[in-house]
Amino acid sequence: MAEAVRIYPPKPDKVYLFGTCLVDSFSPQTGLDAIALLEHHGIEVVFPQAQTCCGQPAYNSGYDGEARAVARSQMDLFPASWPIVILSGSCGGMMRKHYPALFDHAPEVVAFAERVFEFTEFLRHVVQPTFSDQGAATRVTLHTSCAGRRELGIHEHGLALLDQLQQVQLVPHDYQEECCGFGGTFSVKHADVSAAMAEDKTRNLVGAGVDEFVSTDWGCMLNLNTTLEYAQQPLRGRHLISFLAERIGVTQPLGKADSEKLFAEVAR
Amino acid sequence: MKQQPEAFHPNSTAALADPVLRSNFRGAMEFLRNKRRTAFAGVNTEEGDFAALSRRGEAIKQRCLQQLPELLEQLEQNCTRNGIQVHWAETSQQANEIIESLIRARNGRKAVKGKSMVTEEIGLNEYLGDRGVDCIESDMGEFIVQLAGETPSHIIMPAIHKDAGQIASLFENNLEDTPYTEDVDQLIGIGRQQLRERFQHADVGITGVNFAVAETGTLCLVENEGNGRMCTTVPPLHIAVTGIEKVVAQLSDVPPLLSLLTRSATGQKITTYFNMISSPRKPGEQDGPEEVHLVLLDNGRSQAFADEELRKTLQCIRCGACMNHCPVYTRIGGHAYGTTYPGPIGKIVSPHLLGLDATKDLPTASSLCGACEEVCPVRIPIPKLLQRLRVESNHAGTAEGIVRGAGSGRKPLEALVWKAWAWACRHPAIYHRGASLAAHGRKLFRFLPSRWKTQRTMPQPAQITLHAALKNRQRRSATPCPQEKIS
Amino acid sequence: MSARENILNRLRNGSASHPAMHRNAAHDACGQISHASNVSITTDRMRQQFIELLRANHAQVMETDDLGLAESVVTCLQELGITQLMGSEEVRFLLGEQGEMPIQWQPWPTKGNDAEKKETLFSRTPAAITTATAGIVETGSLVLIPSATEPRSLSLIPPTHLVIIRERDLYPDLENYIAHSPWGLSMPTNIVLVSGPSKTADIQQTLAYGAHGPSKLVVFLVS
Repeated sequence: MAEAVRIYPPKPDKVYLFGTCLVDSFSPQTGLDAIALLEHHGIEVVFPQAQTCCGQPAYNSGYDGEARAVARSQMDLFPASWPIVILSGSCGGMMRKHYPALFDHAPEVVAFAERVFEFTEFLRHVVQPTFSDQGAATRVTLHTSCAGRRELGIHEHGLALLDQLQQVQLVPHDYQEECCGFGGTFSVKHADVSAAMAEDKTRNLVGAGVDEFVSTDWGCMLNLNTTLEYAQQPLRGRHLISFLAERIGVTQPLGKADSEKLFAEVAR
Repeated sequence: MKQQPEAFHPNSTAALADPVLRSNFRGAMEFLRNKRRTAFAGVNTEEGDFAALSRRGEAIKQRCLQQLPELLEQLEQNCTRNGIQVHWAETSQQANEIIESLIRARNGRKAVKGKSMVTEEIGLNEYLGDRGVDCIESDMGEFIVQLAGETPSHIIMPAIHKDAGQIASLFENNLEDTPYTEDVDQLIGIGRQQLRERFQHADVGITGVNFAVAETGTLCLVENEGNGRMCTTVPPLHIAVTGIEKVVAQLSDVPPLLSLLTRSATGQKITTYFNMISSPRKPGEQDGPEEVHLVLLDNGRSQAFADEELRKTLQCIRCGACMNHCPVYTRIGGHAYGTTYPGPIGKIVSPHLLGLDATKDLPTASSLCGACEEVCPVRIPIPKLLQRLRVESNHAGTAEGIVRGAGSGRKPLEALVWKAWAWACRHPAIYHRGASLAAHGRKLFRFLPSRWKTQRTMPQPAQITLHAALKNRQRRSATPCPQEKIS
Repeated sequence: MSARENILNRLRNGSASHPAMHRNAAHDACGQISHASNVSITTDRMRQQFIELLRANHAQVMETDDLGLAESVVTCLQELGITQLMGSEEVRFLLGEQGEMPIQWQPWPTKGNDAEKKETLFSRTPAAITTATAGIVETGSLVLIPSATEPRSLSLIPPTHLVIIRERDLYPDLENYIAHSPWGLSMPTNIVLVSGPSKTADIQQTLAYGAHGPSKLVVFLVS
């Protein structure tokens, strides 16, 4: 359950970024846009290159030992006292709520968890930006992950940030609070049930009559976008961060140069 | 009753393919959610009725569980003093034997049953039926379900999977001189007529218990229809059956729990009837049963009790709110679970009643979305307990000897995959090389065989990982941004 | 060893493995909703809420006083087309004080065995009247404590149930009532809270009245 009150620090000079494994592999653009947004507001971003995954997939699957080992290795990568900004509600929930439980609430782990902020929460309450919307008029709807909504209680933050954009009409969708059906390995172990949930969720998203939907979790979005693609629906979702970065004109799209470098690297 | 949690996969797939069932459940869950929401939209406290009340409910249940053995002894002592005879049953079989012998002692042949999930749990109807005791369900929903030869699909609304048309046909085909009607008042009238005759001539009334009060030796029963009152008032013998976790210390513990129960279950401030039964008929009294018996059932509950975390399972007051809000239950209904208690609470209770070996597919059948925990009136951390049961299922280790069937869900290949995955996560050079290769070969992803693809396309990695992109940009950029070293 | 010993031993072993938490009810008052302490005066608002909730639950409520009670009962029965009423001698006396009633009074069947009494109640008793010991305002509930003179079946088996409750017996909520409970630790055989006529929503969530208990509940609130 979400904590009742969180006291936020003043805006820091530096933060760590935890990109998450899904952003790393499926949407590096989200990570680049997060960095652009933070830098735009005068915050230096440190991205430890040795980071991999928060350990949540193993934890949710009932492999506590494996999750604990991964968690310990990740915590070691963030030694300075800067806030750790994380690009997903469910990974945020893992680090804030489940890391302490995994380590029997050891003081250093609790202290680590205290430094973890989901991106929209950090943006709204610590950075406290004022946006000037530079995009064309559009209609969007927001899907909040269950971890974000219930574990961290952060679903209000995305709404508040979007609300600042003058040209963006935020449209609610039916059964907003209901799960999209992802749930990590649940979506494979119980694929039928998961797909039925995704089907209902995408129907409600489409029913909202929007140009696109935004979310704060790539887990949900992979589930929803692939369901939409399968159903040959044109609607797609993208991360709220990328949407914001584009609206205020700070996005730096991945270019050809980025990929060319990759080929060279893989070839080496 | 046949328990078939092993068939969860085929059952849930079949349920998903049944549009009538899905629409019946969706509609019913919607109805119950709205009722509950309205019931808690009070103005008693600043943070809202629910947050305050549920904290109190949790505290009461935890305190009572903390002293469970003492409270059970106290309950037994006070019930006995009041003239209620107390029996203990470790298993379903023992409970059934006790109940049968009590009925035999009075030459009873006709039983009426109030709505009680615990008697479903022990399979009482079938047991008594096989031994010549006719046991009729008297709750309207249970009556319908029994007539159809089914089991309840919801712990509060047993016939929620059926619509009026299906019930009309059922009555027409199974009850004498009953024409087809979809008029609900008429259908209830038919049920009333059938059952009043049964109440009048029953030899024994059998019910569950919602709260058993230790300090006074009182059995509390919550209901709307009056069948609970009929079962506990009209027949000469009343047998109450309850799980050992239903005991509370004192009468003052009851009002907050009662309020949470009725609001969570059906959105009512209180049910039509709330019974407090403290003794059989006393000398001079004109009616009521001559004998009252209480059967205290363990059936796996002491297993959950033995572990501090799993013990929270026993806080449950059986309101059904978790299933009403569960995205899985809403889509597959109660029968697919193959257990007496379906939905989120069923997934955490059933492994203790039936063993993890039989129920290993239940704890994994959740996206851990947390909707159940959000509405639980006694704040049971259901997602955490599901995760814990997944651990128990994978490893026979963490709480050795506590959970029956622990380790039965272990799949050697899966365990190996997670071990390898964890190793890779701790070796970033390997991990990132793997991620880069996946990005490179992303077009191959759509050919991967996976159950994921039943109604989804396969997601493809991006052309480049975030790690690689940042490394590249850093190399190209004059200013080290973003930098890796701590300054 | 007996089942009893086995169960208790398992529980005691389970208890022993965990340090005792608080064991006092006073400690779990966190989040307790503040309830009005004993309210000896029934305010208009309480009376109104009590009536509204009962009516919302499909009970008929008649506001009356001692002098008008008998007439209210008669009027109600006439409207319902009921000509006979079962109840205790005490209630008969209470109603009879104002003169002869145009209703056939049906006493509790003292003669015969239980089966015969049941037959009378199930087949030949259209209505019964009882008193309520208290009323719970928060939920609109009547507290019935059946007795030798007002048996349990009176408020259960006949299809119409009439209840007399005095305004001074209203309590703000169940907790408050229990705190002032006159029975101490020696509970009556049966206490039942009644908050409307018998009902069910078991068929397609459609509310229907008169499931098994009385389909008609009439409350006479005496000031």
